[in-house]
Amino acid sequence: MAPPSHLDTSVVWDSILSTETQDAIDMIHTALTATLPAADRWTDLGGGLYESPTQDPGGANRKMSLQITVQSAEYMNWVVKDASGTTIHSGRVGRFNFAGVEVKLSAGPRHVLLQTKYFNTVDTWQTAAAVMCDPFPVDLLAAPTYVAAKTSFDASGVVVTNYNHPDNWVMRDNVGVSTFDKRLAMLFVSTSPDGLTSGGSHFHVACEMITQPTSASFYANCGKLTQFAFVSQQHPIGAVIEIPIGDDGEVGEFEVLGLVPCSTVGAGFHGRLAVRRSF
Amino acid sequence: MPIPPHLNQVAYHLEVPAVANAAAIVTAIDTAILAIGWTYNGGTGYYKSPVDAYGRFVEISFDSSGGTNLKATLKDHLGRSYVAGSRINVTAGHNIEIWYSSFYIIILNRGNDHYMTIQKLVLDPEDGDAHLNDMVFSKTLQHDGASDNLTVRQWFAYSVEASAYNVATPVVAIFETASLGAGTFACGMTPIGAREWWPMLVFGNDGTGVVRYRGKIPNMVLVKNSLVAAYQKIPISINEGDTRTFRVLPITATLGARCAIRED
Repeated sequence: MAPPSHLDTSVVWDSILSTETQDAIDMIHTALTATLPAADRWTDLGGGLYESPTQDPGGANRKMSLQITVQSAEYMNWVVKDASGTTIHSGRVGRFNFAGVEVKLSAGPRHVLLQTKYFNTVDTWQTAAAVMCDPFPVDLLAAPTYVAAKTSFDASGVVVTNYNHPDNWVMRDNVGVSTFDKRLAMLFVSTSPDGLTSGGSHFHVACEMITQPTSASFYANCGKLTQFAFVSQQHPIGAVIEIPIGDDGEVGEFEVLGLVPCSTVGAGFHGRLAVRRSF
Repeated sequence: MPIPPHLNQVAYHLEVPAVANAAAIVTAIDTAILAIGWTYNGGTGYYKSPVDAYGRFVEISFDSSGGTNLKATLKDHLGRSYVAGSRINVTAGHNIEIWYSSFYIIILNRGNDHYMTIQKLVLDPEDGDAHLNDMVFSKTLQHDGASDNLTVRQWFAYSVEASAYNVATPVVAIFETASLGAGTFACGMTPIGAREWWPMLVFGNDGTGVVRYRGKIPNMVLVKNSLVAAYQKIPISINEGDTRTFRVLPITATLGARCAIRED
């Protein structure tokens, strides 16, 4: 069987040592508009604004836009909107200009993830993401809230509380749009998987996103983060692991993100967030 | 998209109303499972499932001689069994429900909520021969009538460390959000009301301190306990435009989760 749909999109992986914000913007521009397969490329609308390809089965009209601009040599502005034009998140990522910053990018038609860190130091990874959720097996129309985003800094440059938590994301919810610490359903296990299956592969599960629908007090499942996976938290940050993603022998390469493990967020939880590196 | 492999086995359901005794259950099962490829493994009451592409199968043998109880002994493809056995008690007039397919049987007595299962895991995303320990089961009683008191997280799986089937630890993973805390299993629905479900991921003891993912229980899912009741029929989407009926089982809920079995 083919990989599940949230892992069945094209992926571009790139990394550079940056000396200023424009370096990272150029890397993203190239990935979204030139490196991705033609059918999966984003549209360059000018002014640093990019629009993803549209998912339109059944008239779903799902897409997102990402605007990346130079706030300063140190910071990049990161603005994410859904198809309706609603701003899901406006923040900053960066500190790109400190003696060469390591920048990593995973991008596809329905996700962009940027990570930055001072090269060769113990600095904490900074993260910026714009990701569409995949509600399969329910129809796309069943999950009208589908764009998730996060950055390390808010629009005024203040560090986002818990920005390095795997479950801290921004989505539309019952109060409009908000950051919420508990947007990811995490694996609750009373024992600690060693990261492998009994068959010797790397274990993973999908990252399911939670939000409160408009005017609702209950939480609802919006679907799986495209090209993200939970893996064992025994893997260190930056570990590159190969995961079977389909039973026809398909293997995906994932990298563990620079976020805290799930056990830091809540006792009994287990796992680390990882993003796809190869297709 | 294709249906997820663990939900893609043809599902059968049988109601056996007002049974006279335990033997009546075996009679009903005999007719049902032989029709879908199970074979006798020593005569009536002794059955072997179809063999999959990797040579894997399960075996089940029934003993209804007690009249008021049905005992079962289960074996995996290596002939390994659970010595304490499985049992449900039966009183004349009880209604029995059976869910079955090529690689699982679930028998439930609605008269007293006693149940027994035998299930061969779907090893997705690995190949079906990725490891040897692919059978799980659950039940209300042992052969001697002792209760197992299991929850939806607790299934018997083979312990490599103990060289036996046991239920030493919860083996089914539960998904939660840290915000909502224990007992608030996930959320239950999508924003416009489609039902949320989670695969039943089974972990097993592969050695001292080594607990690993084994596979998924076929045609069975976890749903939010507070939104369902035992025996309720619920629609669950297994593919885009493909919704099937699942039945909530009366197995004890835990951490906000109940399990449901595909019925059609």
